[in-house]
Amino acid sequence: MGKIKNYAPVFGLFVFYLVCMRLRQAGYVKNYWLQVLMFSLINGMVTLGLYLINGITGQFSIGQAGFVSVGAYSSGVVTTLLFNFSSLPAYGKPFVFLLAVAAGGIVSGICGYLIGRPSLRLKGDYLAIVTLAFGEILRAIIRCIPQVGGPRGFTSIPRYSTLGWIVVFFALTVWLIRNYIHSSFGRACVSIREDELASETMGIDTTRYKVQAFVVGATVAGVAGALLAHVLGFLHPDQFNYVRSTDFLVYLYAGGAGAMSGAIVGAFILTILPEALRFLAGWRLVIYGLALVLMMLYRPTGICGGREFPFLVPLPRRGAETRAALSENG
Amino acid sequence: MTNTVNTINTVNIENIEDISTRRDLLAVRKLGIRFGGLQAVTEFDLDLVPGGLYGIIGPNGAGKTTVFNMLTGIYRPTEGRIVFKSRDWPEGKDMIGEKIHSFTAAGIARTFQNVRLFKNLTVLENIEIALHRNVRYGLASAFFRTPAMRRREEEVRDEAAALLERLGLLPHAGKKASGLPYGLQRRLEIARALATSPTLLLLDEPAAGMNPQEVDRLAEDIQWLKEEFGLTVLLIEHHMALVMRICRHITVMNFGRTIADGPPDAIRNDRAVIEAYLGKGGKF
Repeated sequence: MGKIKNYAPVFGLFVFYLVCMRLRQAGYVKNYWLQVLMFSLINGMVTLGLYLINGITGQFSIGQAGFVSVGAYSSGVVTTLLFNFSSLPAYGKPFVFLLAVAAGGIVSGICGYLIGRPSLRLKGDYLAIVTLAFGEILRAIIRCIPQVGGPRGFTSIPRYSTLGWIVVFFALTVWLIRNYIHSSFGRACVSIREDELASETMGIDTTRYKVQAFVVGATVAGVAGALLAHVLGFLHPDQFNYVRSTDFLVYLYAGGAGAMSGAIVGAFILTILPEALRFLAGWRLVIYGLALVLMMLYRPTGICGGREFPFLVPLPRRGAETRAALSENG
Repeated sequence: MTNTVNTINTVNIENIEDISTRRDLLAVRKLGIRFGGLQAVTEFDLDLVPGGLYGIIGPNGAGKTTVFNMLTGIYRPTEGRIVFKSRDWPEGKDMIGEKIHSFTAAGIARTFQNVRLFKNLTVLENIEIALHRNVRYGLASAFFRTPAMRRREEEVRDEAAALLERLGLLPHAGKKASGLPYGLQRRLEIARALATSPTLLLLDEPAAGMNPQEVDRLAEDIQWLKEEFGLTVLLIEHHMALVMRICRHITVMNFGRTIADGPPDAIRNDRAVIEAYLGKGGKF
């Protein structure tokens, strides 16, 4: 019984995917909305990465779009410059695509390590400043590289990401991050957020775990960026500016930085809402802004308010404390 | 400048090589720290024999907590040496300059003057965090939640529950730490320190904010802890009666200097101590 329940979310996601594809075939759902859904999933991944850094570990990174661009551009390099994707045989395409996504994640993770290692040793706002600068410097650098289009933008990236691929990577991200949070490493990160000095006094190498969480968050953003590049087929450095980074922060805090569900729900609602309001033309931004202000006033802990979807808490952990208490007493 | 150190048992200022041949758990020599122009602690010496119960007393601002912060790596001393003997620490290696978590790994655990629990987490989680050092599974197992990792997690939880049980905190295991009454929060902080499996436990004003009955209970608890967990205990306390009753050796500090050290009886009658506490002509 418990086993079946364990796989319910995976099953649900699969059914959801099938329903989407079916509706599209029947003509009820336009490709446009499928693409919005893909963006929601991708934004959800990026926000989950940010949740690990800002929500769990209590650091303040504000340059998440920088890591998305690293992932997007480096995966684009793999599919266009290293391999000629369109001339590959059909059976080779998935492998090269996966290689590109992996490259996006790895390069982004390395960047995360390189900027996290020096700035996370310090307490305070250094990380915010460094991540902000990182995003801007990166844009300037990309403009100077003609191989990836420079200021004109990176064109002719194969549009190979489908909803199926993205759903799989999204599910994988949710599962891996959930597992990380509910491990001893995740607890170490939470303890840093709660009280860094006490955490260090409990024998936890706080710098190490801050960097670890930061690198994982950057890697996830890189993977999401790789998927994004292969949805859009075109990249421009200005897509990943400071405003874009702020978007991810808004998704996280509007959804609720106290839980994974907040990161996911925030990214979904705030990706879909501006699109759904598109018929209102210029007014949609007013409504979007108003919705955010009202929410901060009446629900400052975010949409989810720190409550977690039950499937985002691994089974043995649910009610573990009380069970432990009962079994020892009884 | 006159040297005001007035010792009863003359502290042997010996070479560090001699220290490592003795059976001391901790040997501190001429420890000092300067914050800018302020010399907060000067020439602090300390010898702890395993299994002993030691106290540091002194008026406010005497530098007691500063000493604790140096003994746990939070402050880096500007002078002196700290030699710690434990199975987890290379013999004779000076600890100065090491990170805070290395002090904990070596076997020094502490509590804080104003309780520093992970307030938003449960009592059990507070203990589990302190057990992090011996989780013994890797990052990959954590990501994939392997069966071995889950087994180990269960063990960690049982270990934490067992520790809570020994300290009578198990009924509160699922509660948020901030929801506990103050006395139990202090007890949980001690439990959390014990979870790092220390050989030396530093207690920073454990009796702060307690009434006389609670202080009596605490005195028994500390002695019980020391025996039960095979610890050496060093505590800072304002509460004279408590220190005089349970400590076998007391160091008295004032203005960053050691003004006396010795067994309780000697301290009670020491002129410098009486002066520091009660002024000239005072009497305990």
